[in-house]
Amino acid sequence: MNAIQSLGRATLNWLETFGYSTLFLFASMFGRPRFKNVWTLLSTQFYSVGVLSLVIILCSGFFVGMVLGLQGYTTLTKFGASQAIGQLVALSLVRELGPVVGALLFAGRAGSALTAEIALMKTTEQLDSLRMLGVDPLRRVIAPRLWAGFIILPILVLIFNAVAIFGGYLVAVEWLNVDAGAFWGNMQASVDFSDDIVNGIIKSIVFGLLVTWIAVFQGYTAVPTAEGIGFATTRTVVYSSLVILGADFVLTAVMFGGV
Amino acid sequence: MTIDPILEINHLTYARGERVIFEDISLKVTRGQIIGVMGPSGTGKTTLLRLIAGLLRPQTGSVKVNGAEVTQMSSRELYIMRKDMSMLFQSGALFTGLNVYDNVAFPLREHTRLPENIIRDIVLMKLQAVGLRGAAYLQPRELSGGMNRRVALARSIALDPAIILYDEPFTGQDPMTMGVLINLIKLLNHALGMTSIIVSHDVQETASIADYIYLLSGGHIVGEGTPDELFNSTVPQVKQFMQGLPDGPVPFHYPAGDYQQALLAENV
Repeated sequence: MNAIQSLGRATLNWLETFGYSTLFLFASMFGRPRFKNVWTLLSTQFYSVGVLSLVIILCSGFFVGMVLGLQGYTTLTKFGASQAIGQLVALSLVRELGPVVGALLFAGRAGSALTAEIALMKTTEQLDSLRMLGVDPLRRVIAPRLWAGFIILPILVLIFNAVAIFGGYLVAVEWLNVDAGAFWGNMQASVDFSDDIVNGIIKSIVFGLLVTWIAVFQGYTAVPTAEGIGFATTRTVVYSSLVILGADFVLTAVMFGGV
Repeated sequence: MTIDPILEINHLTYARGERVIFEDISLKVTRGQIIGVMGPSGTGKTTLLRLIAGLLRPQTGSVKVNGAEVTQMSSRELYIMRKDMSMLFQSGALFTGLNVYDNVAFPLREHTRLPENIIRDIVLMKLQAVGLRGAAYLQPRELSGGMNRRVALARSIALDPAIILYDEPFTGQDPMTMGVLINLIKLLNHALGMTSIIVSHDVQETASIADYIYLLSGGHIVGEGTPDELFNSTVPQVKQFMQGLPDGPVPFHYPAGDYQQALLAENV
């Protein structure tokens, strides 16, 4: 009986949190915007969420692409199909690795920073202070961060893909002597714009929304103590990673699985 | 105490989860006065300020500011009401990432359409009032604790509010800074015709400027009166707090089992 009771309580708690976070999302994204300084607020966030994530996105993209090129080459050569390396690199990046790895890195870099920043503002009473000054923190603090994360992740993923493909090219063509024409030609012939690239972008838009939503919500609801900030940041990274991988399976099934 | 109350709290009860923090509290604040709300740590003094500002909603009872019922306001009405009320937070709560000048200018830029040169004049006047005009372009992290609180004070008077709520303004300040803060609170109250509500457990400092004091303990108001009346009170709870006696109605020991038995217990 006790096990059933605690299961019931856990479910109710989960539903309550989920409902609250959904209301929170809608209130901050679609609340009456203040056009007065919307660009200043957004561009600040584009910088801290996007530009500051660039280094990790560029480095990781480059290495992921090189590893793909190397692994793909050794496997494909066994079948005498090393010409198909361009296709392998591009398809796996555009469909899967770009959005997923990009979003995981984004959760680690920008998501955790967002949570920590908002939780710190809560702990130091800055959010209450805003309320006392007659400014709604949902619109002032949360909304620009949500929109920035939502818009910026697809762009970061495109950059990640481009750099990774270049990394794959360097390894396959410049180092392992695959024919450059075959590399680019096979890639062009097999990557379809609407099937592959657009689906990849849709994935990254979904991930962007999920990660930023989790990050700002965890920050906003953090227990306002030093310990609470730490817990909230950890939860952001853990929840985001799980949600990204879970959502990726669902999206892949719908997009490529013929479901 | 009944003439023109700017703030009126009637039969207020507030509980957080199972824990009752206030039970049936009533108090009145007259316009233009400095009111002290004192009590031991953990009695929910800060919570009271949050209830007054509408950051929290009570279970029952009413909070009236200028005759308007705060507990019934929509969040839009609350934001409008708060333009006339400000709070000085314990941590100062200056916005990180904005320098002192921009912090003080923040409420003006948000709520007025004043041109930047007039905002500049107002900001400099407010900073001059707290003695920190020279610190206008410092970042919050470069300020000492006392300066931080003075900047926060300048920011909270930027819109010339009618009521200002002070949350533990003296805590953690050195005696010199305390003196500065006491003078500032008194000066601003008289010069700008504001009403001040100070929540604090610093008895001497609060008593030196308050016109009237409410003493909170265990969710009730256990004493009220002018500072002199409270110092001379014979109510044991009031006496213990005002004179800082270590033991009394509020016991020194947290409730525990028998001491001897605990020491002699075998299986720990």
